[in-house]
Amino acid sequence: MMKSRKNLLLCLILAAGVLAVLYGMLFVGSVPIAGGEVRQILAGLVTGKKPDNGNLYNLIVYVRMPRLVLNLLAGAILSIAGILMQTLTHNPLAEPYVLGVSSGASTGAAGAIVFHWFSFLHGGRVFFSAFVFSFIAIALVLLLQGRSTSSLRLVLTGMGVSAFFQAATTLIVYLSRDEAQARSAQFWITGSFSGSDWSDVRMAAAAAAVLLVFARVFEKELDLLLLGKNTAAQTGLNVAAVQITVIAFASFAVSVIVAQSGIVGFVGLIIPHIMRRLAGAGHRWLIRSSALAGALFLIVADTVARTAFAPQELPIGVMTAFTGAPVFLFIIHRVYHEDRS
Amino acid sequence: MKIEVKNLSFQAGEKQILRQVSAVFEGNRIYGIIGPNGSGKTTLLRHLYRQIPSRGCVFADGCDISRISPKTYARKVAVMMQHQELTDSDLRVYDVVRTGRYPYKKLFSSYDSRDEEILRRILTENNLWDLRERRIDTLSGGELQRVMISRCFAQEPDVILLDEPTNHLDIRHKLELMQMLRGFGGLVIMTLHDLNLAASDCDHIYVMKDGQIAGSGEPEEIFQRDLLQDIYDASIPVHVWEGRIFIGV
Repeated sequence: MMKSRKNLLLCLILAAGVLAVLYGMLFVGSVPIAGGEVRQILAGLVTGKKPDNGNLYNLIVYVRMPRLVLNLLAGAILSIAGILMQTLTHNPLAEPYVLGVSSGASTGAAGAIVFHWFSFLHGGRVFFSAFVFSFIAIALVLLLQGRSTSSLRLVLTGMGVSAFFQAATTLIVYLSRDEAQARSAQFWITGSFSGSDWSDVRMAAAAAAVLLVFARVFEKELDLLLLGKNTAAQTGLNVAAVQITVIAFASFAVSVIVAQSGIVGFVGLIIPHIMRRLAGAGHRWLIRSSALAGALFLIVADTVARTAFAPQELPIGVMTAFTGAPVFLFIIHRVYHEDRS
Repeated sequence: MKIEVKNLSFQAGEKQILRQVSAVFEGNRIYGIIGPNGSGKTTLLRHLYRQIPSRGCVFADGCDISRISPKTYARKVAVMMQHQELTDSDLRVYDVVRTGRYPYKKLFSSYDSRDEEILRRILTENNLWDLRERRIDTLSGGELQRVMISRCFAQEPDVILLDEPTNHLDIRHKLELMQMLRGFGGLVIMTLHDLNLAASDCDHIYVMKDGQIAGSGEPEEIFQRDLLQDIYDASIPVHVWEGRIFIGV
């Protein structure tokens, strides 16, 4: 069919773009690196040959590469999570940050680090705690939203929930005796990818894979939900079960990213908004194209964040908010313009 | 297919909306449910499409519908709602009609070539094939209606339920809808405000008043001046001209 060929082309272009920026951004940073050296190190990774310059090798392989790959995965995850929440709430403004899901996750993560919540889980406790709290946050928003379809109510409810959990996170950081252990309150609220390593990447890659498989398996169900809960139920969908499953997967994936990188807002809002125009609202291509576009966007945004004011690093959340907040306001403007007419 | 309602009562808060309603809908016929506002028509229909639990009072071919799984029921019964919740305007015609195939799909399975074949046939029959890539929000009211009824057809149901399908439709689209429903060839149950349409296009009429069935029969039996006066508390002229019934003119 015409449409799927067009969408395949869109995805191929985006994938090529992701590969290009992944490679290109390896060169960009506070230490300038010549192209020949990077290629030598990359070739060495394939052939197993140890490079001459150990510092440069470490910088490329253990600092820049994991950070870029984590950017890629976080961009994809946040975009898909945004789509899932928009489908669930029937609202283009829904997004992990706007709904307070990210703030909930940050409270859980900070609490697990400072107060050893869920300590019986050992290494997994930070992620698990982030997951539990992000799940609570979104469940709270959906309960308070009830059957209302009002965008205003959803956004305000999200704001309230978000404000509560941000305050809780700040309180936890404040109460912690060990500043370094808790990281800063600012880290949780505006996010940062600095210090990412390969173990972070492994976790995020697993979350991204789970989320992609979930979205692929539930494609039909998600498409059906777009027609509204009643119509979906009359067409044979077990709406409540699908809703709970979507919430669980979306908040799981978001909490993995938040536990590692703090809150990176608006990615799940901007990217699906643009991709819906290009690829349509059907989930198959919307999810694929948004995952790629989100990856592309976050790699570029984080590179700008770490280099624009070097040696100072900008929080990534500031970068994404500068791009995302105008889109957010634009959608609100459009929604309310349509409401009046 | 036979849908049977037995002694169905329903209360919302203090208000008794349905009182001991019993009705039978069967065969490949078009049933109209008429009655004044608040008489319980829509509530009765909501029980049939299971938006309100029927608690063992509604049967499909003798089987209690509350015991039938959502997908199985959706393979038998399709619903066209009064207010479609289609707020997501970026969906395309093909995507919307394709969701009608959902009841036939297992978890993990995708829409396949058989689904595509069915969709192609239905879209072609209803003059939508050329519009299949169009976004839903760019369609006219009549086109959107054809999309939604095509979605019902894609479910390949035995029964189609419609709640006030002709509200907001001009005369041309009303006639077009009725023609599509006659072409369906299964059991159709709909609530209607438009008595002339009920008279001309329904095979059987149920009349509701105050949550009860106040009359049942073929249009000729139902559309009598005395009965309508009772139901609507108003004097309503009824004329028969060349074998057709005209009401309120």
